[in-house]
Amino acid sequence: MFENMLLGLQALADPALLLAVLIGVVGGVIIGALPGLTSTMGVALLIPVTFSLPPQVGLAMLGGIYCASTYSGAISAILLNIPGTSASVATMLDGHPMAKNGEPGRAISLATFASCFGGLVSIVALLFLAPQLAEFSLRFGSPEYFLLAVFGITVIASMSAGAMEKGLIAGALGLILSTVGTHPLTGTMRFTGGVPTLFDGIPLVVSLIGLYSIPEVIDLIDRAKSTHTGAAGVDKTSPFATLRELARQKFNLFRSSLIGIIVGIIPGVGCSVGGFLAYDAAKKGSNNPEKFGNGAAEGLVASETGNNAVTGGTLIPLLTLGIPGNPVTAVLLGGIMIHGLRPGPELFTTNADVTYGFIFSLFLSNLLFVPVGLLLARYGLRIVQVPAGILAPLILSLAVIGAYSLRSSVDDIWIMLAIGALGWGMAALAVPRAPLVLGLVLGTLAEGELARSLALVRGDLGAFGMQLVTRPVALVILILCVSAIIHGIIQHRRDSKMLE
Amino acid sequence: MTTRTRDLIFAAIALALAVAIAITAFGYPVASSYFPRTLAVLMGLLAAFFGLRTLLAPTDDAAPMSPLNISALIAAFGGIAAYVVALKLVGYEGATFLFLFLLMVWLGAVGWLKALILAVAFTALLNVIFFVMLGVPRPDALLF
Repeated sequence: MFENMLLGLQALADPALLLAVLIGVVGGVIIGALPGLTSTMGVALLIPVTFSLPPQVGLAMLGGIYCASTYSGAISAILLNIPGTSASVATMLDGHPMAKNGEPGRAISLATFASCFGGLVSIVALLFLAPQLAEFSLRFGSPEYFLLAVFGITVIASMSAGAMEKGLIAGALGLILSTVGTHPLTGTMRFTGGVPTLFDGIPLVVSLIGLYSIPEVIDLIDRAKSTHTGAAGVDKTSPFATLRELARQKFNLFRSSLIGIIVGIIPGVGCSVGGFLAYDAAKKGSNNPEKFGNGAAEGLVASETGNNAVTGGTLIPLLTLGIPGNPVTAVLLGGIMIHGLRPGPELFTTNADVTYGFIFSLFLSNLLFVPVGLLLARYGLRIVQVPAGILAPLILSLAVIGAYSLRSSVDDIWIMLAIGALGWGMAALAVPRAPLVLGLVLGTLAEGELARSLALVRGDLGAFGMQLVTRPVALVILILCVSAIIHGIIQHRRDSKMLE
Repeated sequence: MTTRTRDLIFAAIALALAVAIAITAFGYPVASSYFPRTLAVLMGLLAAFFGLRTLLAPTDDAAPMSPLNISALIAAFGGIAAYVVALKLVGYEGATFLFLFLLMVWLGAVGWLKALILAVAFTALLNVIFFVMLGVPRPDALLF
């Protein structure tokens, strides 16, 4: 394992990889700080940019965007009380009051260093836990992989809190869309309507660009004439003065990191939940709980450490088992597969240089977003105030060239537009889009492994069913699937009661 | 529109979609279509259940919703459709410049001069990143 880690460390000497991390971090910080632009959209938009790059360089860029955008949502949350990304919702609770109290510089510095700490701890966990899980996944055959895909799909229930039926329908639609094109074993064409562009299926990246960028641009156009006024200014507090303050919160930092990592490992929970749970734990453990909500440093630190610690945690099931824990990692999984890699043990053996290079590049990303974020924060108000009337056309033109560049096909722009219309329709009808993404990503795996499993038992459904309950690993995953569904139903009922 | 009407519209669309997918999927050989067949049936059942649940729910739960902004919708979809047509006529640079400039001016966030500068700068930036640095083949155009 350590030899493989050394291989990964060597990758850091590649100037192209360092440049890719820098570009990813700068892009991620800007995307995260701009309200309306999500981490998922940032990763989806830049996947086409990574096509012609070597895998470790391309993945380092995507990892940089993921880590940096998760952090930088805090900038607009603190300065404008608008979360740049959903991850920073809990950060607003104390970050914005602190800024209003005349300490926006202190708030941003605390958020930056706390995010860096949470991110780094979670990458250490990824580095040492992931290989063990990967070795375990060697025991997996087609039935287990099929069940794993099903387990990933059960996450839909928790991704659609308060709208479970809608989430399940969206998930089913995503799975059906993933079947467009050639059947993995028989070669039969399905749902193509004779259109040659669809013979290879609906390109995942094109779908993601359409699904996330078009509805958000429509929303931006809608708000084009509104401007943000009365935003707080940035004070002159030295960022490094807050390091001593952070050193006094060691327990809060480690507790929040641990909460974030655990939340990240559980698929479907997400960064915002990590931030909220860490904030809640900090408040319960604080000697001054009454200060929470009025600019308490403990609350801000807990939220930012917790939500950034989720990033490394989500990558553990993603890299070892191919289970994306949230929409960003679902898109990231697409990016990994596009580079010809498949999550599982091979990532840590055959492709160890790429995988460990990627993990070490995440360390670098977490360190690099500190200077980039602090520098950006100085000009933060100007950037977060880019008028929607400028931002919307720029995003659309980037979406068009991004969709085109995948296969150098103008037809892909039309597909992007059609999926964008679907995404807009879903947003208008309050249907969660994340389940559709999960369906699109996991559908190919689920159908392929199901076809292989059935082929092995010559299409005998009874024999296939017996395999699921007699193979120990398959049985464990089956139990996990059933418990995830039951948990989803209980959570749905609880949410419904709360709404009532 | 209320949330109840919205949910009923969703259930109806999902049910219609599930039926259409099921009809198509059942037309393929079983070995190639058990997966979409199962999913279409599941989707249809879920849509019917959701629609019934919404219908039977007390109507006083329905909350009014904000109206849809049709002009934003037309600008986004119409804009991209016109952009793609222009792409095939005048080439990437001309179409991108026109798209950016016209949309920025129409949205009114900046004056025409600033929009002109931004449109030229962003077109040049995209051109350098995608066609020069990444070597993406330029789309074919009728005129240029």
